[in-house]
Amino acid sequence: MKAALRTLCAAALAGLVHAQAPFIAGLEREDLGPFAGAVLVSELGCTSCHAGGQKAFLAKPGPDLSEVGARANGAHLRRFLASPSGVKPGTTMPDVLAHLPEAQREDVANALAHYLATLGQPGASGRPQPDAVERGRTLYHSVGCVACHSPEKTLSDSVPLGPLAEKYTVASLAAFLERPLDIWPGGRMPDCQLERAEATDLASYLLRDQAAPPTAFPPDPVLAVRGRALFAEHRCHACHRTGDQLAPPGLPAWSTLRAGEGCLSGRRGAWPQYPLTENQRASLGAVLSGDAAPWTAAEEAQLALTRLNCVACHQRNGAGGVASDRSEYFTGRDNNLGDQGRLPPTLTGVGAKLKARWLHEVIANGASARPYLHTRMPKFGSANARPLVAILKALDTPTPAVLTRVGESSRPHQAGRELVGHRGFNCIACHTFRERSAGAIQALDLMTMTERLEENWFHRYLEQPERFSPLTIMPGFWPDGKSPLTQVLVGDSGQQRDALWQYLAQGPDAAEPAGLALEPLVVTVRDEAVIIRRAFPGIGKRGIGVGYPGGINLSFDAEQMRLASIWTGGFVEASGIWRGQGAGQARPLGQDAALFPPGPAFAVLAQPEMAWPVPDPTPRPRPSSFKGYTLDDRRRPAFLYVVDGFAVEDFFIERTAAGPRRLERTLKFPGAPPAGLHFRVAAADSIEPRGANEFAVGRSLVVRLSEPGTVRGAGDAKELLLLVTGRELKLDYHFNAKP
Amino acid sequence: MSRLPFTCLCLLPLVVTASEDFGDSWGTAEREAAYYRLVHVPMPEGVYLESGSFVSLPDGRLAVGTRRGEILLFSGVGDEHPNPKVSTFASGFDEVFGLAWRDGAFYATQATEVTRITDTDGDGRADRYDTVSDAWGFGHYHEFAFGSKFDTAGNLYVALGLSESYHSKELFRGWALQITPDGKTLPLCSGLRSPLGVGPNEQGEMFYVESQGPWNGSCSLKHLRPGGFMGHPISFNWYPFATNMGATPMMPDSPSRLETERRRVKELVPYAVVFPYKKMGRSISGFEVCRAGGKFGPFDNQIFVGDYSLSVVMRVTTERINGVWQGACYPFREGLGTGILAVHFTPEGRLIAGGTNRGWPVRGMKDNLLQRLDWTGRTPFEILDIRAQSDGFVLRFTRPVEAALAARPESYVLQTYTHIYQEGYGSPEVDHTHPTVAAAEVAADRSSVRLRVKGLVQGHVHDFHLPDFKSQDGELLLHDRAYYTLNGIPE
Repeated sequence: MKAALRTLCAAALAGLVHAQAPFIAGLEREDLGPFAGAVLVSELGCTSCHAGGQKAFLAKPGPDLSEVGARANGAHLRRFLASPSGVKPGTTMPDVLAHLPEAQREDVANALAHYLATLGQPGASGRPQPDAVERGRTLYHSVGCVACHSPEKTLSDSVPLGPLAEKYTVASLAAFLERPLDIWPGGRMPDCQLERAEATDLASYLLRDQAAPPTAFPPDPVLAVRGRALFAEHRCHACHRTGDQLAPPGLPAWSTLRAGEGCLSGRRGAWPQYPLTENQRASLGAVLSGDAAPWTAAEEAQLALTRLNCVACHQRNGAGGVASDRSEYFTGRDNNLGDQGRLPPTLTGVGAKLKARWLHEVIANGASARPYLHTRMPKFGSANARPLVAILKALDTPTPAVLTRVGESSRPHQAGRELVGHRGFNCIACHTFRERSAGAIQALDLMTMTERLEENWFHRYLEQPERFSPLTIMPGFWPDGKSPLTQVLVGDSGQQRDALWQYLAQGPDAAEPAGLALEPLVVTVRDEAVIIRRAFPGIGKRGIGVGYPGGINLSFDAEQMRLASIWTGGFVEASGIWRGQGAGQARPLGQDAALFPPGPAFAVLAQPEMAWPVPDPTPRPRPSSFKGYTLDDRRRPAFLYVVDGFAVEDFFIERTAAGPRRLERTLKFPGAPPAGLHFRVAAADSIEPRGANEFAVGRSLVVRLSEPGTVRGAGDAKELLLLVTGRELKLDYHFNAKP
Repeated sequence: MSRLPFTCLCLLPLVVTASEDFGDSWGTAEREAAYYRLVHVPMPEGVYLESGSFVSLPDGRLAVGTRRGEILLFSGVGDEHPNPKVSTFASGFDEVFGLAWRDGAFYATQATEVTRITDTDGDGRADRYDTVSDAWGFGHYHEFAFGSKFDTAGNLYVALGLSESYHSKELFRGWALQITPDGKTLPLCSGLRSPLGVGPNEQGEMFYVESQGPWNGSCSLKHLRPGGFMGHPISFNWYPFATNMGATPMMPDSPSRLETERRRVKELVPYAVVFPYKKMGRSISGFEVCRAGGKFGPFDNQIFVGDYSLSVVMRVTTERINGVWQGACYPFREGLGTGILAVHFTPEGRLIAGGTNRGWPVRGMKDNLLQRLDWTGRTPFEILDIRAQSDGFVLRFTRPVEAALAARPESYVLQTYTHIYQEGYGSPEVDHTHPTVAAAEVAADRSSVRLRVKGLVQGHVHDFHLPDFKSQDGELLLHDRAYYTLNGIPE
């Protein structure tokens, strides 16, 4: 909104000032007041020519031009040099030729372009491919590009991209995007850690409207020689490297400059023309006339974060952060983490939070402990990281925490492990441990904590997470400073936090906490049947497992009304459904599992050769319905269900007296079956008749039927079908002892 | 964007005033214990309890529906010094988060279905399980189902959580269904997110509790107005299967405000009572109206609601203003030992609370725990309830107030705020205002105060803080905060 207002003001002033003023990203969304001038000094590169001034005025280096001929098309450079802000509105590149008569200006720009075109060889490039454009569009809107640049839905307060299609080919733009710091060592365009293929996708997206690569621009050797001389004459080397060693321009030192003169006069002259707004001119003037008191550390931090536009993603001390109209582009892979799972972290107090080495890794090399964020922490390079780390570490002094060291004799590692585990504070309910997770929530890995965090901050944060992030889903574990776990280290809060730290600090030597692997929960069957309703292998969530006395078990699918599996031996292990959030399945124990095919068990086949119907996967009211069950005196269920209006009672009983353990099944039909109703007994790779109405199904299952069945082919497999004519069917299942 | 009544460009900056240390407890547990004693109900050997729902039987036994799929019967839970006997009535369910009793049968809401459970041979154990309704899709473990008790007309209500918390991949995920006495299942409301309880308010209207997340800036108690939209539009895809519900509502804008969107989306029902995040729980759960007839102190006909994450119990009062439900929530009792999923008043007028500790972070870390809150017979000095007026509020108190203090407008620190209504997860409190208490008129019996307030904000939580308020006998309020959601200002 502020930006919109600025645009409005700019429009109102259009008659007085140049409409295409330099765009400084970090100043666009935040009012920095008196600091704005200092940011302008560095971003416009004033001290590149006018040596001196505070170190905070250190000029942003211009793009390295050593290989510019390989990267940028010469015709574009010629147009750009003749009118930088006309061709790329918002550029910080001044018009250094503005004072020349029009014809001469064109001439000089042409010679310069020919010179630059000799610096590097353009490579071959193809057209943007539609699938790459789509992948690039997704990348552009998710990895962080739109923190500074405009999303496809145009937002005005965005760093302008300029006419990319006349400047780059897909290949040259991809090469730039892959290693932007090589060109822009100042880190204003940081390195978003794109793989080669990603850079190509992104370049393809950015050049999606490019009909053909820019026409080749073979440099004219004579013009190039002249251009090389003009490059020095117009002091381009003050900001740009080319490989030539040139003496810095001997212009008046910073301390001698006065507002309203030269570059700041608003007049044309033999100086670079900056199309400044009145505000920008005033800010710069204020810096020049200001007293020479050096900036405070807090001010330096603010300046550095503004220059690198860290504030586009990160909030610090209530300022900056993701703008509300860009928030939708900041996403994460774990919705459970709330905004913390999609927005880059706050920088408030970050110097007190992060160890210097880690902070440097983050800023210089884009290290991140948050794999769930889609937005990538970019690399800014060591040169930019070093001063910023120094400032932040010096500035953010921690409030000392009370640290209570747990002595070796109190076994801190063991206590810490206990606290992290599921019977302690259950940290692993939400945090991964060596990238393994115990639950659905996968917040920062516990193993990264001591590597990244200052010990003091770790204590302070744990004491009261809300103090640092009011909306965090992390609870405070010591409400009012008291530990709810009074048995561990006599319930001393400080000692418990220290034990956590000592335990985690062991790194690779830290023993795995309890609960990371779910402790088994075996459900045993004694002299009565046991029922568990939940997900079983091969069934959706409406599974019913039944363990029968004597060690034979089945699972029934109450969604599709079918027997799903039979196995012998132990019943189930239930940690998947009764520990943690219960995200898993009941795990059948024992052996010999025979799986029955998904899909309906009953179907009307108008012609006997018709294929068995496949269930419709679209969510909708189901054609069959489960009606419940009754239990007999040993709590064996008789399932009741209706399939397409046809009622079925389905009862299993174990037979374990002699021979192999068997399940005897009785299907009863209160109503007369419709014509052509078939029951599918089984489907398997092999189904072989073994005698009167007996069939070997797969490797070891044997099924005996009360009436004749039909084996038929079904794709590569076989099906065993029964035509239902009477009011009752009996089946008997057992496993062949020697398959 | 520009239509929104706020100018903050950034989402993150949050100003937390020093007085709001909501990371800690309320700090009142010790004082609360003098009025409501926390009693541990010991578990017999061999019983592992993860309470998901409670109902009392006509014979006085307490039935507990559990996450491990049992219905356990407890005798003696209401005894002064409980040492209950427990028997397993039924087992093999999939997470019982609703348990009702009628005409000799249990009606359990489990993840897959509502089941009628009976003991036909009278041996004390169930032998018949009839599916009453399974007219919804169930394809992911996080698709939880919560069931109510019967309303006076004999209907049951089921509140269905979304798929994986954020989607609606199976039929009617994110809907509330009504099951009629003749066994029909009718779609009732769309737009639910993550319900943790469903039941009647003090006047018998059906409500459910919702957790903060997408389209829910904070936890809230919501009215299940038939045909209503509860705020989360991901479940709009099932309107074609709900012909009784009419056309699909229009899509709400995001980010916006509930107060703005309810004018555009006519089916959107304003959240009746908002529970500010962490100050008043962060995963509010099962609730029940107190009908103890004075045996539980002065709070008859108020709603008691638990909280999973913070292991607390809170009070709620509701009222219908201009046809829309609204009301207030009040701290009640903290320091419970497990994550509360359900609360229930026993016939003795004692409040049973139970739940579990697994899967999500929880303050009360114990498992296999059943606790009871008993009124000690001493009446705490509390805000009994808050009712909206055309120009302010009436605050009633449980004991006579100190009149001079109560008559001072400065005794009432009143601020308002709301939440961003948005697709993103949760919301900070936004759009703060500070209404002026123009006058505080103390009733002749000193049991209530009429506040005349300038600057009521419709759609905002009105956050009351009475830090120095005293009873006639000089006692400070046990809890000096309350939060009234003003969806409508009485005419």
